[in-house]
Amino acid sequence: MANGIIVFIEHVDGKVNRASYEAVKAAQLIGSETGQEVSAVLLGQAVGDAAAEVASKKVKTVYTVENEWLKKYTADAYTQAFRQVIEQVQPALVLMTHTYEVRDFAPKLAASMKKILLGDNIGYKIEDGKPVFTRQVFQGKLAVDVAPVGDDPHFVSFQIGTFRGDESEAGQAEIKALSVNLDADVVRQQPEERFKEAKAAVDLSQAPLIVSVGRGIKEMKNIELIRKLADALGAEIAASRPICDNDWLPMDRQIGSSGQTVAPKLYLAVGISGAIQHLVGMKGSRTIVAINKDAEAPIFEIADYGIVGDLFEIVPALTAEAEKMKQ
Amino acid sequence: MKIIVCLKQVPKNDSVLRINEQGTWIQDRDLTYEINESDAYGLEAALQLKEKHGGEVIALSLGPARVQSVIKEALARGADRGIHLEDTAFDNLDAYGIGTAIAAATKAEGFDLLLTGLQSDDYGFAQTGVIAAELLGLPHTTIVMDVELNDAGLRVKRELENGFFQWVNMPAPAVLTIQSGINTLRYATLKGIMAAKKKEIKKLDAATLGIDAASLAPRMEFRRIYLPQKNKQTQFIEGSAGDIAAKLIDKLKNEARVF
Amino acid sequence: MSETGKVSVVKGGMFLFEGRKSEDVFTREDISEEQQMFAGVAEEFMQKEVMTRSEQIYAKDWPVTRELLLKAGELDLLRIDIPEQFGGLGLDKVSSAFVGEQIALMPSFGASLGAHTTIGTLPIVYFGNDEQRAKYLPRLASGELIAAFCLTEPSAGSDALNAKTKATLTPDGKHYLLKGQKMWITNGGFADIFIVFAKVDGEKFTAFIVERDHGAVSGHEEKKLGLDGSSTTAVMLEDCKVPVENVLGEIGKGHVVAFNILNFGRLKLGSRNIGGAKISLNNSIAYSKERHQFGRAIANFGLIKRKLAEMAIRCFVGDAMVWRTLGMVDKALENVDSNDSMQVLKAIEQYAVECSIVKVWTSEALATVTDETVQVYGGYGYSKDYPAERAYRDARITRIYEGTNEIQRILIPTRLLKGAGKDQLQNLSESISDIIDRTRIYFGDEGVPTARRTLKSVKETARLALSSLVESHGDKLSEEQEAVALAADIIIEAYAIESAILRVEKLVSAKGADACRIPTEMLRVYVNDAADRVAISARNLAGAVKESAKLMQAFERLAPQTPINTIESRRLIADSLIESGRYLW
Repeated sequence: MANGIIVFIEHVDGKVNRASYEAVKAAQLIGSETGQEVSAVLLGQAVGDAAAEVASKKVKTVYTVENEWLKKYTADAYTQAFRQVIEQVQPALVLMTHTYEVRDFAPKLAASMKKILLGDNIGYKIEDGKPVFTRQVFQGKLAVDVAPVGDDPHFVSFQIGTFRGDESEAGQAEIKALSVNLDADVVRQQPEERFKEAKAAVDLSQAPLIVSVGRGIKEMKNIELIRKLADALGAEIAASRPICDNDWLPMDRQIGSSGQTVAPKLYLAVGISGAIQHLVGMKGSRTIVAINKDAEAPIFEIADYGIVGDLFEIVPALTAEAEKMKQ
Repeated sequence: MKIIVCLKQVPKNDSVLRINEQGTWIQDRDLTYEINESDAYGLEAALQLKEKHGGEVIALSLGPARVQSVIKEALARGADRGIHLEDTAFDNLDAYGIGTAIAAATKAEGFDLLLTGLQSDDYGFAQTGVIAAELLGLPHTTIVMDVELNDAGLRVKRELENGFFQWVNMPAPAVLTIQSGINTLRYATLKGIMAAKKKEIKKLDAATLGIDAASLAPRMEFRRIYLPQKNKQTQFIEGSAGDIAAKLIDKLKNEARVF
Repeated sequence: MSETGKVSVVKGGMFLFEGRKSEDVFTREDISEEQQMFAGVAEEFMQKEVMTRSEQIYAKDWPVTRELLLKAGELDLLRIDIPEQFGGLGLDKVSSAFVGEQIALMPSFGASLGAHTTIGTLPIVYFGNDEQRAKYLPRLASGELIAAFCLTEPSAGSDALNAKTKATLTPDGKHYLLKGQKMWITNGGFADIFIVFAKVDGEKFTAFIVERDHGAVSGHEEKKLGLDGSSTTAVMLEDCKVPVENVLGEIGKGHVVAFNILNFGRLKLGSRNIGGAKISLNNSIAYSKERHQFGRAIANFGLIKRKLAEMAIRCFVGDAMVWRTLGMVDKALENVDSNDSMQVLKAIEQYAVECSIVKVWTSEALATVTDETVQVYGGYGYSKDYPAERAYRDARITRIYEGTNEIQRILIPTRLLKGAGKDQLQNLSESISDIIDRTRIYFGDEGVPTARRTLKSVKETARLALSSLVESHGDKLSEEQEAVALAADIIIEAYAIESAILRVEKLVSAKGADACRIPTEMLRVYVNDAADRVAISARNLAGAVKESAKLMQAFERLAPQTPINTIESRRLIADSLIESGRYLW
């Protein structure tokens, strides 16, 4: 009988992705509520230091799987390796943070065992002693509660930022190496080196104040309105993906899952409806202000201050008020 | 090069969504639909590959009769023919079920490249293409920004987090999930729409594809659907633009202490 | 191409004298999937290409407008009405009008595009010879050439045939020299091709295809109340040298060209008008949900609901009239050889009354809707920063151009009296006594069947009004404009009521009564109010003709009374608009 929760720890060349600790935290919470032990798994080559780091968390065992075919991430090798880990450890629940890497292999892993990934959840609740997961549908406009159906193990991922990784409990774990047999013929992807494209990338993660603009701005020339507001507030200007896709602002100003993740003191979202992909990049901000004409826009779900109205009217007034404040 | 592109029909982005009386899903009365955004970019990528390398583009959609309109839309933009997976057994499938149906249909058809969008704007599972790849025994790459063909197969640009990218080489046939915004979508023309009428749309059901009930059985259960609960209490500021601006600056200064 | 399906051919100008069944008419719901896709292209083009360049368009940056027209050409939006052998698609009028409705998203650009495709291009389509068609149509279809229609002159507006522009044959017999001035020419500032009407030898009113290089000179841009983003100029013809082969149609038959083309213009204007009304209505719905006063969205207030409901009713009834008429025209065209222009024109001309009715009713509906939208927006409605103000200004021209509503009101009864129905008018005094013998009718409140009974009364009122006009004024009818216009108002309502009934009946039979609750409410309210308006017009008319007292009594007998709670109905209609966030019919 399967038992326990296993957490997938993501890393690049042995450097642990901090987001993985969010899954550790989730596993600790669910584990204590359902009386299950938590373990973690690292796939790669020379992952000793990373394993040691993870072992300082309150988990029972950190499993390491080292193999030359796992040196660089590929969906094919990870799926094979992880599946063998699951067969050996027999967990009831596989928990992950919903990163791009998890999105790439976890559905394949689950499908290889005729299962499905319950992906991108934003919370959970316990019903009849079992976890039920909450996820967003219709780009955050509605939420659903879903429960896995069928036998263990179940595969679950949580959206980045759902849990505080830095609040995961510390402890002392044993590190245990597992060996797997990888069929090299089955590893069909050959990745090249990772690279960044944007030249002289702006690092928005250090900006204390950010004014961000979305589709609601309608035309490129209107970006000037936002620039004026940002200048008046002494803030950096940023944008949601469609604005950068249109080249209305450079790519390195993009906030969200494919852009930068920020947590400024003030995040002022103008004409941004708040698709999940955007929210994950800014929901850690200390104070969020949203200006949007649609009162139902998901951005208001996470805003501290909401203004439902026409940005073309409100932004100039706000700029004027900010200028006044400066004097 | 034979490319199959999967197109999902989803409620229009600006739709007003209402939960049905049973609280299980949304009311589909009064909804208008469109091609899922990233799928449209997948279609455009397919059409551009065909223009560059020759071959054929097949538009595939799964769902009730109404999804034929997205197939027709694709045919009007230049796809050569369509496949419509229609069966009451396909109602309310989860991603595994949809992946199963797509895998069966595309295997029967044969292809060099199977494209999907990276995720749907309704369920947002983001795994249909990957599941199909696994069931077909084919390699895949997700969140693809660019596709190159070479003698060895494919070289695709994958989007990573925090502004990183990575080229990945793979043999064909393969499955790719396409990111939104990677190309410029073309319009249909009226001539294209008229020409689409003469293009074939093949209908396939579960029995024809030899799909059994067990492989379509749900692997997850929707307990309930509801408006998201707020984590934060949003203070709404009202009044004239001037009033709003003054109140907001005051609150940011004295309440939130941002300045 | 047949899109109207099994709808049968109906003779024009006969609706007062014959009954109609819902299966005989085309409605908006009959628009095919393919036609929806055509419109989808136009809508996407408007949203993505045109609306995003609104500032340049309103700044009269004509190269941008020309570039957009060329792009529209690439998407085939300019070739819909052009025959296939000349680079067009040869599609039906329903397709053409439905695409036109999407272009109404920006009335200024809609004016530029519509002037080009309809009054600019259609004269060559229908009156050009093969050489002319081959020479001009492919490039008009692609948007490489843009056309304008030059009929009006400084002293010849509604009285277009009183044109002063002259055409004189040069001594070598190869050219006409055109001399004169045309006014209010849409696309005047940037068009390449002008359809110009001039009098050969100062007498024979004739149409010409004039290229800009022949010597047509644009005046300055007019400063207009609305449509700021469309070019309107005078066009000066100062010894403009036009080759004789550019005479369009026959010498002396320019009026045939002008009036037939304007028939098309009026018909297509209908769908643009209702398209514009729906945009304003949707803006009103959105704003009234967003705007809070006294602690709640103003959409919750009865008087705002009343406005929203009334706007929706106008859109619903307007669409019923527009698509019914377009469907009739298409059906008639299916039965004629599309290459035989004269047959085509004859087929369309018989619907001149319906086209006039559609023009008058929809332009006035648009006026009401845009005016009430300003009111819903309150102070913001008066501000140029909000859309209500521009829509209000843009709407105003539609009651003036393509033949003023006053001219149309004269034409409607006079044409009916010349048309196929005139023999069916009964003897006035017999009709009157027959009606007076009846008792005043109280109809009850049964929805569509009640509306049917009201329609019967209104049609009878209209026929009686026509008979009384003939009896009292005979040949001097044209001197009695006020009375003729009263009759026109009754006739227009008859067409509106009947169109709305037919649309609701067709909807109900397709979707079932439950799904059609709101259309049925819209019908009940419209018919109830229209019957009262008809009664007032009839009473005023009766006062101004022979046998006033008896006629008044007859009209009174015909005026139906129904115990309808229009307040409750309008609330229901408004609530559904507010719930869905937009007009859905």
